[in-house]
Amino acid sequence: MSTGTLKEAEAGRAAPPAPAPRPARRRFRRPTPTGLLAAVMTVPALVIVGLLVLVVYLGFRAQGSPDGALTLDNYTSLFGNAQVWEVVRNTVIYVAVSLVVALFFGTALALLVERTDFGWERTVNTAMVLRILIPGFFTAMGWIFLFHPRIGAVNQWLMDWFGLEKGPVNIVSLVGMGFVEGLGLSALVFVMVSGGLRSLDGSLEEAARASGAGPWTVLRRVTLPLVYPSLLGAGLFAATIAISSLDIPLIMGLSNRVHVFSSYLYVATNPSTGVTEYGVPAAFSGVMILMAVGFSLWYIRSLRSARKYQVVTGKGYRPAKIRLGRWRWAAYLFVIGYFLWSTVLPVLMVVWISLLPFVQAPSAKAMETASLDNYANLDWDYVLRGLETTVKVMVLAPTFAVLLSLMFSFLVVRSRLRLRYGFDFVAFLPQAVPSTIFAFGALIAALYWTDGWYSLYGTLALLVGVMALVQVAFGTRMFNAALMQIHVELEEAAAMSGASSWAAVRRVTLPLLRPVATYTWLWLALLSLRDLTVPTLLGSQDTLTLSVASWTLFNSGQVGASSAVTLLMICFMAPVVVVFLLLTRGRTAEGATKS
Amino acid sequence: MRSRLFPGPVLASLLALGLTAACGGSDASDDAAASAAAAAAKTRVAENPALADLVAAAKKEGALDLNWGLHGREAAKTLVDTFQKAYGLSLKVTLTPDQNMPGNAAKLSQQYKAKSPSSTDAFMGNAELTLNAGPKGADALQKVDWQKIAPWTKGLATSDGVALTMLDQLSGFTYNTNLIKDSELPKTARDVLALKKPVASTPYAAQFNVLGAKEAMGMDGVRAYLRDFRPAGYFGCGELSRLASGEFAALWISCGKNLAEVYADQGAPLKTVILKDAAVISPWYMSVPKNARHPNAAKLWVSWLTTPEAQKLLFEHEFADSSKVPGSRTGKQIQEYTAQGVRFTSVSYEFAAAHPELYNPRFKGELIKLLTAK
Repeated sequence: MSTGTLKEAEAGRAAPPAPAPRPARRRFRRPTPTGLLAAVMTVPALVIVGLLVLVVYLGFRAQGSPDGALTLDNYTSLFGNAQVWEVVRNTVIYVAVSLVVALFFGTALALLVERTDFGWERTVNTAMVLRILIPGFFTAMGWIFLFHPRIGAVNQWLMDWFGLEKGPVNIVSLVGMGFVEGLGLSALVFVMVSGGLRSLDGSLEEAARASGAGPWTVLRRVTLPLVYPSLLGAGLFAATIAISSLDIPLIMGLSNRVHVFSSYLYVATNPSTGVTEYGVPAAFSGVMILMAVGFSLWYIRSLRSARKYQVVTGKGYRPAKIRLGRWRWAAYLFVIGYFLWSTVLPVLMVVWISLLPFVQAPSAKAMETASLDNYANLDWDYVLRGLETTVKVMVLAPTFAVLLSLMFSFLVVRSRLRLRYGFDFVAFLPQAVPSTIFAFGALIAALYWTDGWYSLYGTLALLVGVMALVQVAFGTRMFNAALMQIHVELEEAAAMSGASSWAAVRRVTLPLLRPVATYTWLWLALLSLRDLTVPTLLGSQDTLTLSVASWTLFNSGQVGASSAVTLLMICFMAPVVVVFLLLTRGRTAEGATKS
Repeated sequence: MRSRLFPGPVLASLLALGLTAACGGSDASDDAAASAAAAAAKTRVAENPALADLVAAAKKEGALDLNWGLHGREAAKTLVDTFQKAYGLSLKVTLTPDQNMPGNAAKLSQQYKAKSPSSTDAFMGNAELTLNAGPKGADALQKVDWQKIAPWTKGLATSDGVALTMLDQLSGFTYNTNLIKDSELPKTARDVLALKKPVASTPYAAQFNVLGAKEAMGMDGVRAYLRDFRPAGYFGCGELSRLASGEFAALWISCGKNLAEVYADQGAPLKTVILKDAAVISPWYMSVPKNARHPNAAKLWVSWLTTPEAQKLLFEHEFADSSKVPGSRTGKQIQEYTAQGVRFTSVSYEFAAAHPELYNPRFKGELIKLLTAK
């Protein structure tokens, strides 16, 4: 049995000679585990597809209303003018810059931490996770105060020192916005790539080195190709987040007439007429689904060569660390510089603003107005309401998402069902389609088609359900990559030793997946914490999250109070991060294999 | 599990710190206002059986959900607390400071259409939004006999009885006093075009459509004006921190001078000038959705906000009240501006109903395009 599937293993065990079954019983064949799994997973798959079909359908309805007249006007409006094409061009540049920055910093840091003797793994991991907690709108504000051509402190210093007439750096440009977004997304890339690196077979790199390859060649020819699934998943995920994200385009772009798709749609869907226009976003979602099909097909094609990445074989693999030697100081400069600009300064900015009655650039004069008033005057009912929902969402959404993702990935990677690529395609859709529009479909469905005792509109169940479905895309990328790297030989060996399918999965595969599952859960919990899009669209007074509470205050001009809530959010959630970092300690794939 | 996620001592300390801080924020003048409001409410309830019944019904409902985003620090909370004390209520008030009025209006209409309960028990909106949510639009608002339950609201209700006026905002040119000197201040809308400072605008062309009224610039006039106006950037009316920080020198047109005064009260270098040929009075209205979960508490709340004592508190925290309520300080400001030669266009509910062409989405979209596509 060289090619492994559970189905084959089951077939192999079911094959021993036995009396021929009676003809009457042949009709009632016992369903196989993969068949049962496929049947169960059809339900969430149909929900995902159904919501998207609904949104596409709304794209052909006047104002995107289910009872609106049939029309093509939404598509005409979407593509009918030159401004839209400028927005498309801007979006491509913005996403490309974000992606380059995120992949460069995220991958470089992951390589330093996982593949060299740089050390500080836990500190870097903790800092990267904490980085996720800082809302994008504060990062944007921080960078405006540093590099805005008029009020940016760094620009002002450079102008003073070099006698320049205007600030040399313009952060409120398209490239600047992409850079700030990319820095934020680099934490995501770091987590995804470091997860892949952690479970990589270091003997392959050692073999390359033994054959005379230098560090750069090993990196280029061995390490990076081996983490290709993680890099691909991280890149696609970062790109779609960049397309969907609203905070940086709103804060940095809109105010300077730089429109990308998300801010363009925001303006289009927030008219001052009081009648929200959902038709154009629905039409846009139709286009995005087409793009998602393209991305999915590409991704699925890469899955077909999955066995190239099966490098965890259970034969004593152990990651090897490269010695940095005299390059250690360059590495320190790189890491410290990264954290200073991407994390420390934005956090300091949040702290600074939380102490002020109104937003001011750092100065001695502004310092005179600093106080704790924003904390003293917080509406604590409001904050605690947000905290309660946030805790529920952080626990429930990732838990459901991890379970669903795991089951999807088993079907995709381990089964030989004809429909397995269809399941992967469906699981990928929430990643490729902006969550804004995905949530919009759920909103309309819940509003119009659930009522009375089964009403879902404005409930925690709807919020958690949709967040979990949206997160399935991330979860399946993680589990697909991890399952591809766990050779089926291990399950086959268990099967040959008499273990049932479930026992083989439970005692062999799941322990090996535990590090990935823990990281995925932690990451999704943190994404749930800071997610604004889905809670804003689907949330109600009863399901207010802390991120929405902070954004609501920010958006209503109470920036000081908003930053105070953000800091409290970080304080409340930091213990969660620490607990999970402790949990992941020592639970590497290596440890799991030994167990 | 929960105790593992949140180490008890850490959480307890944080909560204790927060609660201690929160408790320290009471204001003596607000307490005095609450006592005065309670005395006045007691008299009104004693004199009006319909009001007494409403208070009893509100008590029975026991709760009030409000998606209300006032700008003044603690404005909504102070008003809610005083309201509860005035009528001796202990309602569970869920207050969400959401200032996205168009978003709330759209949500309300959609919820009504889908036969779902509304997310807010009392809707707050400008004339246009209230009109669109009312009988001539989505028909999601209740018609209420306000005078029966609250005789003091005479003259404050819209002609169809769906809403009461709450406060008046005066739109103008809001600027950073550190960046624009008094001598540079514009007096007319044309002067703004000549200003060599980074002047921002709202991405949704706030109030420009109203200047399309014949008595202001006229529709062609405002189109021509926007062709010449090139903003340095865009931000929403509530984001005056962008002005205070110096990122922009001014906001034209700002939604209300009172918003800048809220910031100025906290030390921000912000002021507003009302331009003689482009002055707008924009009333905010309160109404009760037909699908409100707690309609009686909402009616009681809405009607109470038009009492002199509530209006006084409103001005203290929000720097605006309704010019129709006797003793209004905003009314006094309007009189002073008018005496200086300022021509106001009052965009009341009735004005919005009478000028559909100014609120036509196509016209507004055209203005937004002229303003933003440069």
